[in-house]
Amino acid sequence: MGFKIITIARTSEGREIPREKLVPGDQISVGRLSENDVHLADLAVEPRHAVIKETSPGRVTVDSISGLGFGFDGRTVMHAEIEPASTGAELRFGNHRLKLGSDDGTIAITVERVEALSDSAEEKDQQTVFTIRGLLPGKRVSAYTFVALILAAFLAWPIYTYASAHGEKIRPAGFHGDKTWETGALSKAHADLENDCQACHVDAFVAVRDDACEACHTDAHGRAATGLQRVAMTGPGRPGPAAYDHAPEKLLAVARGGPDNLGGRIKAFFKHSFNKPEGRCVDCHTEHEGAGPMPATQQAFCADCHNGLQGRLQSAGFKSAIGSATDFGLQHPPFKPLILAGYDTAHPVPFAKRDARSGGNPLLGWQMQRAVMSGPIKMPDGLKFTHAQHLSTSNGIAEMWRNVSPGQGPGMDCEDCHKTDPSGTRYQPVRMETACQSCHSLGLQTIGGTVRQLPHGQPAQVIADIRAFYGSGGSFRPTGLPIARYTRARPGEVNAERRSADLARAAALLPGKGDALIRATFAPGGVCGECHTVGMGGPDGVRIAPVAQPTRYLRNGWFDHRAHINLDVRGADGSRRWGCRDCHAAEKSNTASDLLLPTLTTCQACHTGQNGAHTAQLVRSGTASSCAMCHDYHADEGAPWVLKRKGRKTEPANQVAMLQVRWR
Amino acid sequence: MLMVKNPPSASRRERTSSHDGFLRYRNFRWAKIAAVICGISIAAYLMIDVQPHPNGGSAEGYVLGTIGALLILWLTLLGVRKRAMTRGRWSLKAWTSAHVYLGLSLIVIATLHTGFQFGWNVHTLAYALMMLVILSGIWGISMYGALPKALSDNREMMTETQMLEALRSIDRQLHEAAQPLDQENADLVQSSLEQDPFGGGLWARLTGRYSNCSTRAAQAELRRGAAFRPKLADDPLDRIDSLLERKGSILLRVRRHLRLKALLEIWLYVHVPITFALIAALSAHIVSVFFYW
Repeated sequence: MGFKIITIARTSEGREIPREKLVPGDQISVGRLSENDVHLADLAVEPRHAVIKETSPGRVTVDSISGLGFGFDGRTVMHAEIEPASTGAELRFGNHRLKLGSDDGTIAITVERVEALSDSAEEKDQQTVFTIRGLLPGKRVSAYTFVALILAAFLAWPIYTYASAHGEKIRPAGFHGDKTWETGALSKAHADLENDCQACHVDAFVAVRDDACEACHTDAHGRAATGLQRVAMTGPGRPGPAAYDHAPEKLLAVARGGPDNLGGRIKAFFKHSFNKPEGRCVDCHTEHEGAGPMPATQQAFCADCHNGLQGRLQSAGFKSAIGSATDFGLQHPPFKPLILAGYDTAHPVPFAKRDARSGGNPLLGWQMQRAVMSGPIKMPDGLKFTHAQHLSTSNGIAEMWRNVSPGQGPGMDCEDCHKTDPSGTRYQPVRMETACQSCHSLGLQTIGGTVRQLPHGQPAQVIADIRAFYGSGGSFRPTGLPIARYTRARPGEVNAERRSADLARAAALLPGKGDALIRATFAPGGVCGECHTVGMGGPDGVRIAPVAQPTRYLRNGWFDHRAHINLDVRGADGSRRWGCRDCHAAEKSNTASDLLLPTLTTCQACHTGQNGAHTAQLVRSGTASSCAMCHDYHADEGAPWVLKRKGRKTEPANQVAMLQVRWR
Repeated sequence: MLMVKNPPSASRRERTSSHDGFLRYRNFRWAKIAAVICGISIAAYLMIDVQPHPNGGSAEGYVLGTIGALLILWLTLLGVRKRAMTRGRWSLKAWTSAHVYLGLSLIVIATLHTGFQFGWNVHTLAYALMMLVILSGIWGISMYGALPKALSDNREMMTETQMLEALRSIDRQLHEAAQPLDQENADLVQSSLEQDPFGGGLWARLTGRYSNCSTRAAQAELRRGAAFRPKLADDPLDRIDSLLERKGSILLRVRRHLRLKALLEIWLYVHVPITFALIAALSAHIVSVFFYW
């Protein structure tokens, strides 16, 4: 009977100091108050916490008397029965541990504090406890984590995307890792490619090549357009606009010259070091500049190459005739119109193929050449036509005109013959039927009030018609009379009838089935020979020299008549001064072969370039005319991009603003 | 004679004796150098007209980008360099001074390199991380300028060991004094003892607000319970109250100390890891540019 209470204290070095106390009796109390047999100086223990009672030898019950439990085998209980001798037990009161055992028949209770009395009393690492170490992930750990995450998300994933889709024609929809590399949205035109980096960035570490552009932008002649499929396949896209070359690549390389300033040299260094060739489409057509329309091609000024171009080309051994240009008002080579250079008689083209009325091309068979317009030049076009004669207000032609078209002015005007094409840009070839024939009648015979016309453009038919005319008549006797004068009659129906009656009468007297009349018709001064050069022979019996009227002479530049016809340039007397004849010296042209194209100087009177305002002669302030007003880098048959972009047709205000020039 | 011959020696002694911090090193030498670099960059940016709008792919963009990237790597090397102290022109102080001012100039250099084009991409990520690093550095320097005096004022010559010892002592006294208390009050005292004075998390550290402070709660609760009880001579609760009061003031000092130290340290937890994140993003930026060249 009795309890042995062993209290263990520890020195600061951790050595145990046990103290023993024997308590007789079969019951002891446990609590915080010192009156308890097991006194636990522990605030987590009730003042009178529990009673330990030996109910029978070797058997102990522990009962809480405070309403607060105690720990027994890891659980909190209010009552426990223990056989210390056989099993022993551990009780937990607050921060203390009571170990129950048996010692020589007495019940031994070993009491030990197992936790520090306060948190601050616990062992603390003074090096770290005052710092924020431990409150945050360590610097090294977070650094490595960040590096791993970023490299995985922004390097490994995009490269994986590239590698897994390499060679695919069109990448599947969905988010691709390399989108995180995109520096800016693609323009509206290329928005279809937004998800498909490799449409342009074909190979890793290889700068975007022109091939990628040409996959969609094919040349004018519709080279097998593999890329068009892409556009069609990705949705409501259009085939890209065609891409044209500006000049042969070799010429371009020479023309560009070396970088002439520090910035250029730096950029050239980077491009050279990192394999970024010059002269690619994307040099000018920059992308990833943000959604919306593609930004205007950067003004890598024409003059960068064209200033001193001739010298550079020549010193590189090219025999190019391209002149140097800096500004239209200051330095620009003379116009070089593409003109007719004679009909290639060695390789004649049948008239049927040249006849515009049946869809032929009158220029077929003609040799063309670029002429240099440093002054007025000649271009025989097969017709015997003089402008001065026709524009006179005092000669016979004027008189005839006043007869035929009363009230239409004292003489003919340009637009009586020259008609513009539907766009108004340039003039259509003059047509015999509509322009000339009202005066230059081809009437042969009047039958029942209808004038029988010789067919224009069909000499064999003309001959046949004349022979038929004679064939249908009675007997003919030679008179040698006015057939030679079967030339031109005064215009008008009355005159035509009168003349055909004359002809019929005279012809009735002629022998030889009209041979004389045929000869007269084609002879110089005859109905045909008056305007055409005619040779005899050939399958048709006669050969009419081919006639051609080019509609466009300046192939690399753009000239728009419509922009000029409404010019409000007023002279000092207030009269309008600007018309066809101000540029085209038609009134003074007495030779059929005069090419009435204006020279550069004529244009420069108003168009002073971008920097040459002081050179304006005709107007007070020059019309600012940069290269792009007439030229495109990728020139095609159409108007320059700048003009098209201005929306000339839809916005006449643009035109007016452009044309408001004042008389000097 | 000797004095006349060697007048610089006096001034040299003066200079070396007066403390010349890394910010004022050599009369702001590096600040001036950085200012010149920024000035040149800005002037070049304004003079060069990049079409259609400025971007990192122009000549100046390449130059600024190269300078910026090299600068970032060099700035990172301070972490290596600071572990070896030397004197003289390439002293750690000079190095640190350069680190600070060249780091600041990076704001100008990198911003101009972007051409003010930002987006949700790796390029802007690198820029944002760089700005984060710089801002944390600015924060760190301003804390280094402002806090040490407050730290020293708060300590009042007390060392951290002494602070810890004071806490332990007051806890022992509290424990002792609370022994006679009934369980309810004893639990209150116990809760104060059990709470970790260094606990509370990062936010509590930085703000100094410990809303669930058990010591204060225990004191308030004890006072509430004692409010209507007749005063007794030698009431243990009075003693407990004054001990809790003392513990409260010690805690206040310790927590202020912790707060100031946390403010001094926290920037490095941003500055260093984000620097590495930046270098990773920078590498991705550079690789991506040449990959999709």
